[in-house]
Amino acid sequence: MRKLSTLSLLVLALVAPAMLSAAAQKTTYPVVFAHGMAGFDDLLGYSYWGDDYGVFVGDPCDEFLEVTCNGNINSGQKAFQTQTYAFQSSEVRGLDVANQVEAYMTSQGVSYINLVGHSQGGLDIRKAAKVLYQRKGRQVVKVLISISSPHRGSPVAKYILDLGPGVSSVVSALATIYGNSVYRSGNDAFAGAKQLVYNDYSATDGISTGAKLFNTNNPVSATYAAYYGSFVTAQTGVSVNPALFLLRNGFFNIDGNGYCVDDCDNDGAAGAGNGTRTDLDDDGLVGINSQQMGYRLKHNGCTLCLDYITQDSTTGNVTNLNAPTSLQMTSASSVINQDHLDVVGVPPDTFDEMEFYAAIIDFIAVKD
Amino acid sequence: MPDPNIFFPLMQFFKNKPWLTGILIGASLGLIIYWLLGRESDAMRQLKALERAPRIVRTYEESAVEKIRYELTETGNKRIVGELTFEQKLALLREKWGKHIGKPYVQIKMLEEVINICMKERPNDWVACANELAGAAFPGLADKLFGQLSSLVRYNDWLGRNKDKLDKMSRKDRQKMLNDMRNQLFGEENAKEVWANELRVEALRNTLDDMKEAKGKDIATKLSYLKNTLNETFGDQAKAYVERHQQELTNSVMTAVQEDLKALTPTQQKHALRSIRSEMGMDNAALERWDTLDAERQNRWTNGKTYLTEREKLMATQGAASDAALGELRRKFFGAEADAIATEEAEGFFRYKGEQRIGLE
Repeated sequence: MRKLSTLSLLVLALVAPAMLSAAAQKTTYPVVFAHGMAGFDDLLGYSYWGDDYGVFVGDPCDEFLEVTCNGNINSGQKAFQTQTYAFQSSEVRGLDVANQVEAYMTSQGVSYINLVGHSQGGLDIRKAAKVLYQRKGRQVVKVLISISSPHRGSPVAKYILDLGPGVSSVVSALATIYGNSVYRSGNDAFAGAKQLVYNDYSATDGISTGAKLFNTNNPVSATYAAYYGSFVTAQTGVSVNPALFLLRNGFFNIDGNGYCVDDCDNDGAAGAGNGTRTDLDDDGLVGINSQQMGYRLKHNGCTLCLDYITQDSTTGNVTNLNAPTSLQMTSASSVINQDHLDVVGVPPDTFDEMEFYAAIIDFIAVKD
Repeated sequence: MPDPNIFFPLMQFFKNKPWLTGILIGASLGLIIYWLLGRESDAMRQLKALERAPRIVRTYEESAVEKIRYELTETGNKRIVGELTFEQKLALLREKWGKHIGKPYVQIKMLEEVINICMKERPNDWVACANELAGAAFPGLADKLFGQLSSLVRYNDWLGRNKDKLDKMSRKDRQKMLNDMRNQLFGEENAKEVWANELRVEALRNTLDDMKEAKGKDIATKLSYLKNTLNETFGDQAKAYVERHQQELTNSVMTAVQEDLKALTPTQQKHALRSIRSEMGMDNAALERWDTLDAERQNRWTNGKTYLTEREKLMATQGAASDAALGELRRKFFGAEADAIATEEAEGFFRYKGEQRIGLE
């Protein structure tokens, strides 16, 4: 692992026009991307891990005169995107992600891997890291990063299961958010939604579900991955993606930045509200008090140069997912001002997915 | 202040004619709704203003490109410190995008970056700002870039307005509607180049669907069909595409021919798996690693199935088996994974209950 402190950054004055080293550094081990609740090529019909034109963020420009690729990453970068069951629990999905990572590692002949998960994908990769450890008898994952993940539940999941105002059925509500893939045979919308409620949703369904139990079974642990980090997203107002219809149409707005160890306001996510639903405390699906896992990461924009990621030094490390500190649950530090779907390829938005994921790859390159 | 008595006759008039009052209120509401629905987005308003009165391209001194201060990131990339001048932005845009700026996809990506910069710097005038910056960075392409900018603003505006409608459509209908609008706004050839990757992936997806549906054709024939599509769709870049997406493609093929694989004997299966992976560009070393993993996975499933049989027996003999007995059984079959298996079972998930997906798990 290459370690360089920020103190070692050199400030230089160079005569322009200087050649910018535009591309992110190549990671030592490949980066695997794990999608959220819906299938990756069915998220409302748009490319999941891509820009608005269907180009995968992990595609390097490695061919002569190639242009439909991510010019922000190293031409030798290796990346893979899993495609797992839509609308299932993370126990089911995480095992499948582990199978796919195992397959990819076998094809590539690599011993370690880095995992990046969006939304429920962030929970899935924790399970996958554990399964891979158990199969290989050693740590397999170097860097594990989640983006907008409901590690401590989502109030929207409970609201939908409760059939709150604006929701006529669980399945159709999820279809409105994620697309018609929910109707595909084998998908279990209820299992998916129950996974994202903090506590066991029903005492009478004969099964134990919920994010709290999942966190106990699939913890943040140096045994399973060397580094854990997470991005937190939130946005206010009606500029959120139309797919996030509960917020956009004024049915339900999460109050997601109050502190409490468990789900004290019974909204489906750990923590409590602070009494104001309209502040920068959720991204339309997940509150900020649910999203931090491991270290909080900061996305730093850079005009006409590669964006970069730094580790937030103010909020510390969330090692016990079921007991973050008050600061970790309530701080708006390093929050990315985007909605839940902006950070993946669902248009229309102005978010530069190519550069964001290149910056993540660049960050991983330092850590792996 | 007007005398309140002057409104009295008017109030009396409407009081005596409630139907007229209703019509007037209804018409007013209708007009408000019509105005709300029909009003232009801010982006469209800016674009139309620019089209009515095009700005003169800003002049600048090439020699005035000043010193840019950089700091180095941990990975050696240069990061810019402080505000950039207009000239510095031009220099950096040319540096980043100039090599392939003739390509429509690159033009759109460059414009997106410029739009992002302008939205922050001149939020009420970002369309004109983007046009100014792009046109000055690539003066030879200024007209073309303005055309692309105009199409992009219109397309995103249309997309925002029609999102709900698009989301409710079937995949094929949605794709058709998107393609029609892209062709209309960008021109057919231009749109094809901008969304080239999406169109190619769509063609590949259709072929994989066909492979799944095709009855009575063997795996070799299906693979040959896939190779033809890859060559037709990606041309010279077919090999590179397969290399880059080797695992995604292999998984998709395994899924598409799953029923065919299940119908084979174990020896035939092994041969078919090798053949698929080999067609997907895996070398001998990879194929050997796969032989080992296939065997390992087969063992896992055999073990898992035996466990389920034993578990059923235990449940039958003891009624509801005790936690201790079940725990013992899991430890016997799964060792270190026993607790994870117990957790999954508590959630109603049994890893080995279904049929093994050949080549995938």
